[in-house]
Amino acid sequence: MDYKEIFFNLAVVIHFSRIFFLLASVILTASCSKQSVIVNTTKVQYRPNVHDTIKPDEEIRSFIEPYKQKLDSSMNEIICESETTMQKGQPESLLGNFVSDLCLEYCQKVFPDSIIDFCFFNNGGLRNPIPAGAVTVRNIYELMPFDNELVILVLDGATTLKLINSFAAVGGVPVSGIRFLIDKTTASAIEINGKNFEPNRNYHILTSDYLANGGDKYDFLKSRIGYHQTGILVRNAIVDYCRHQSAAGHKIHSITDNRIRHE
Amino acid sequence: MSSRRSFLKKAAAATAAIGFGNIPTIQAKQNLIKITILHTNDVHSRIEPFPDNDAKYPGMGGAALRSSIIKSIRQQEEHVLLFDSGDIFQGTPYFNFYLGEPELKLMSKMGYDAATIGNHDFDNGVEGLARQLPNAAFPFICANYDFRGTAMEGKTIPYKVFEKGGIRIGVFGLGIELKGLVPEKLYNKTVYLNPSKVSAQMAYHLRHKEKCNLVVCLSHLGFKYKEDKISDVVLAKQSLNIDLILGGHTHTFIDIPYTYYNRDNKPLLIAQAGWAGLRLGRIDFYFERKSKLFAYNGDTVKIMRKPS
Repeated sequence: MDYKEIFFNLAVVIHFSRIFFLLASVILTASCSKQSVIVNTTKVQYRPNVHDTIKPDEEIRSFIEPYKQKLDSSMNEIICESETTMQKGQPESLLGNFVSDLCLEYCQKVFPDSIIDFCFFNNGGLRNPIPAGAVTVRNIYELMPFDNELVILVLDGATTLKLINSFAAVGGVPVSGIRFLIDKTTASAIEINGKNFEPNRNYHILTSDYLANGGDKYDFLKSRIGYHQTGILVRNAIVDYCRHQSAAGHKIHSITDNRIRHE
Repeated sequence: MSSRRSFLKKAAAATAAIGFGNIPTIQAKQNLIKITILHTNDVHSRIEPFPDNDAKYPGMGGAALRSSIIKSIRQQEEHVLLFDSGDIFQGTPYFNFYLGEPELKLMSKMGYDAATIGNHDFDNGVEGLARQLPNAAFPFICANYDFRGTAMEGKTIPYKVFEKGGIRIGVFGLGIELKGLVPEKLYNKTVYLNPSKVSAQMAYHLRHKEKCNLVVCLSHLGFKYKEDKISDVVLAKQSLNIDLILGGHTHTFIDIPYTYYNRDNKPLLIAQAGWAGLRLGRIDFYFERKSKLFAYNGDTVKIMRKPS
């Protein structure tokens, strides 16, 4: 086969096609096997989406309707107002700080005798932003759809340090009660409740049962000294907190305060 | 050899003609068979469109609009296949309250041909998934989860061959490693098998034993990772006999499929349609009737209302 000839022919096609604003790139390979020829014709022009003239399918809509109505009655309840849109992000974020701050505060209130040193979650577990303005039960379900329970882990100093280093290694996770610096892939200048990290003591750490039991690569958390269930779902803590803020006449809000920062 | 050259010209002419919507005439004239592959992934129980006050996707997505778009494509195209690459479940209260039933019933109504299993499809346990399967009128295809001794035993198939217009399309499925991602009590005795090994066997079998013209992998491995971990990109580079990977898990928006080169330096495509039913992926393959050589044209369709 004459490759030059093929490229020439394609070049001709490309040339003419430009009139039609098509064929931005052509990838061609040729050999002797059956499935060996792929011609990739990539368009650069705006192709009007087919849906521009298409309406939602009525049959599907009426199928969804009874499910939707039943959900709407409980999910559309407005539980509070939010000052701002809260999104997740790294090294820290409005959404991550909001969820971890409130869970720590909530558990400290519900269990006033317990010691909790700090709290952490994972970014992957925060599934949707909180909108500015009215916040519904549905928003919280979409933020935290999982039935994850809050648990208190007791870890020795070495495992705690390993945990905090893992926060740094992934570029930051939602935390509360702790501050540190990301120094490449390890944490430095670690402060827990305003005190320097002490390698020779145990720490009580609030998180979800999913993470505590090895989810999201936290397998090493299985080597723990203690594990206390709270019986509180993360989602219910958020909903409850929001209702209380609203009842007290407050909007929910969040801050970023350099609790996790890059060097 | 000259037939290949003229095919390339025809294929290029055919794809160039898409803009004018007169493909059927050109196809008939030039003896091309067109296979249209549509796909979604990580729909995550997004049955309704996002609300109008959503920060990122106001009013976008939704099963009803996706269904209309699929129907309109089916009206225009003779040979359509529709796949999902997993994580059908979890993300809206629909899943919390209805446990996956409406998701699977809707996909059945839309005529999905097959789906693979994502990690969140285990969120009500392997039993929770098995309990919902009667609501699916399509098979779950997965070659690398060994479900023996679980509620899912015998309820999935490793691959399926579809025949459309004389073209054989072999489809197999790959799931992601569950340990460290899904709580053990949920996946239970499910055993994760090495996807590289399994896919090599599957693709070889589909190409050479089942004589498939097109080999498609429904993957929930994820597009690519910083760390050294199996992904669609890693799989593509080490593969043989795969033409198309329809991916998921990483919620990657790929507007036009990427071309990668396999172990024999032959091209294959990787596509992924974001998440939440915000996109419907579409790839049209054009096969020459005799040689079965193919060309393709890929694009995704945005599932959004006309701006008013």
